Amino acid sequence: MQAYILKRILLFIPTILLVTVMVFVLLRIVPGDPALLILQGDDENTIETFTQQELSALRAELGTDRNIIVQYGDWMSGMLRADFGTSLFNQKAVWPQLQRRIPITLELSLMSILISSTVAIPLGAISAIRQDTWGDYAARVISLIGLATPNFWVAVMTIMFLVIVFNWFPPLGYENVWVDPGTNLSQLIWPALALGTSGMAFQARVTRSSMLEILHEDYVRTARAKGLGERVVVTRHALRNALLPVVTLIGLSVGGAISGSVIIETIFLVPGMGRYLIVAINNRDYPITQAIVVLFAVMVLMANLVTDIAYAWLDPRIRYA
Amino acid sequence: MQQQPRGVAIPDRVTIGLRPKRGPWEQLTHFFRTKPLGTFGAIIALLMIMAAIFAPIIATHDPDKSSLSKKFAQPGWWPGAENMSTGEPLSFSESVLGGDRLGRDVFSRLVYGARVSLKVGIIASLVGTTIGLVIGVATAYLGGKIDLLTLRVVDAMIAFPGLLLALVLVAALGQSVNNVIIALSIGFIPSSVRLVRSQALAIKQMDYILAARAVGVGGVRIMWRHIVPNVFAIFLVVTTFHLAGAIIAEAGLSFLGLGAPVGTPTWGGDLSQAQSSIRVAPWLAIFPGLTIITAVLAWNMLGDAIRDVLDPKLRRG
Repeated sequence: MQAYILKRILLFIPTILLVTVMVFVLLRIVPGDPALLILQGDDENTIETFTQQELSALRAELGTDRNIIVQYGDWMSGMLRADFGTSLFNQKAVWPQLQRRIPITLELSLMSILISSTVAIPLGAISAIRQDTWGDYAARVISLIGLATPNFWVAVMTIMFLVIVFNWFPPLGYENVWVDPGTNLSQLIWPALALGTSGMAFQARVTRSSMLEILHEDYVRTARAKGLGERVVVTRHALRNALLPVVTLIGLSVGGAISGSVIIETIFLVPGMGRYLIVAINNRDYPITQAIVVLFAVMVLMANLVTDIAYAWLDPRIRYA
Repeated sequence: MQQQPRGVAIPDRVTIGLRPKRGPWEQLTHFFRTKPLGTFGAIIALLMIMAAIFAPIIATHDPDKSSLSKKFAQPGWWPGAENMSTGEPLSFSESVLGGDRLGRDVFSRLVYGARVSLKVGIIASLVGTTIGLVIGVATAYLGGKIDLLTLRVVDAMIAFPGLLLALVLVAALGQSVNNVIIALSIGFIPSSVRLVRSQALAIKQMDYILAARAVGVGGVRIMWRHIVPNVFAIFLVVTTFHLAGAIIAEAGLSFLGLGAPVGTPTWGGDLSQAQSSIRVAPWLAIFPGLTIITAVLAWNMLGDAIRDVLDPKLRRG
């Protein structure tokens, strides 16, 4: 097990480095000269006048006149010291801004995964046990439609439903969970619900097919043959093993939840990282965009790492393979 | 009637394990008979393509023309739908799905919206999956250090889930429909490489590849003539699913205002606009969403059916 974990972590490091190189190339080199972008201003119609001296001075100030490798090294070492640079838009340090927002997005993502798993796993399991009954068909159709439904539409529909039916507009924004847990819950439950829909559909589908496969295994027949009750066979023998692929899927849904949070936070005005990313993109604030994208990618990779290790811990066949 | 010679049992193609060869027409009718959901998906997908091509004929109004009389007008079939300036009842053809906050015709905008959606969907899924196919086959065949490096890059790319990679690329390249296509194409490469590669690895082990090499067939020719045709099934299936994914992703980007220029009729953009008037005109939010779901569902069902027909082993249940 230790050897397996070590191997996974060793593979994790080059992947993270590659991710940072990609983000650096994409957001430092592709958009062009940041100094030029600042001097030209946002409005493309009014080209502001500036001198070559001003341009070189700003380049020197931003450090973009140096060798590209040096710039990358500088950026990396800054990140390791939690220094993500300063915003191009308001010249504030990026990290304190992020520090407030990271827990918000994490809370929202975890809530959505919790909601989707608690609904999806029983739904998928029941669907498999009652294969080819009306309940099974209904569950399959719902998950097929759920997979095709964009979470931002679910979000808009949720708000609409609450407004029209209950004449109640859900509280937007964010209240700290330790300060006011009630408001926090009423603010985050709706975005979490909307965020969870597609994950829910996918998990139900996988649970169903995995459960179906397991129910046809020999040891399940043995369990039935030795006279165990159906309940024990299903919960103790079948479901425990059927959940293995679902564990992987829950780990992978962290990525979906994080990328989905970008739109959902924008709709519900949750001041998390996703909404900050959209604001930064609209302001062409590359240091913030860069920082958030790297953090998102690292979160996804860490979730994958934890999933891999959890999977190996649950299923001994993996670690000896 | 021709009789078979007695005593010699000639196994027909079915008993020796080969499916009887069907003509293309027979294959099609067989598909329709055995895959009702896939057929349904194919019909919807075809309707969507027709809507995009013949948008000027199908649309009842100019999608960009605003009129005061249809500002927040209800759909014609809605009880009590009326012309907003004269108060006269609206007919169905005047207002199929109502009017938006500028009095533009919702139905016509959805029809024109199919253009952006399909253009992005078809080009991005084809380009992305084709690049993935080429890289996947090559890396599986060449193996060694190249394969290892490719896998690392693919892992790193997969760390940007879903919309994130597209968002960053659009942020870097600038906002336009073409950049959305580029961004989504790149986003589809890693998953295509993974799927094609694993299939190609299995084919590489086959004896006929060994035989081809033994008679001196070159690497490129082996890949093109012997491996690519055998991963074509998975390519088709993956492209169809990516097309469905591209429709959702394009809608998401347009919803955020990072897709087609604001004002262009797009499903996601119109849904985003509808948010400000959910109390007065809920249908503005409902119809674009239902359109997206129907389109995505159709391509997904078509993909499921193609997968089942071409390669039952790929079934994921």
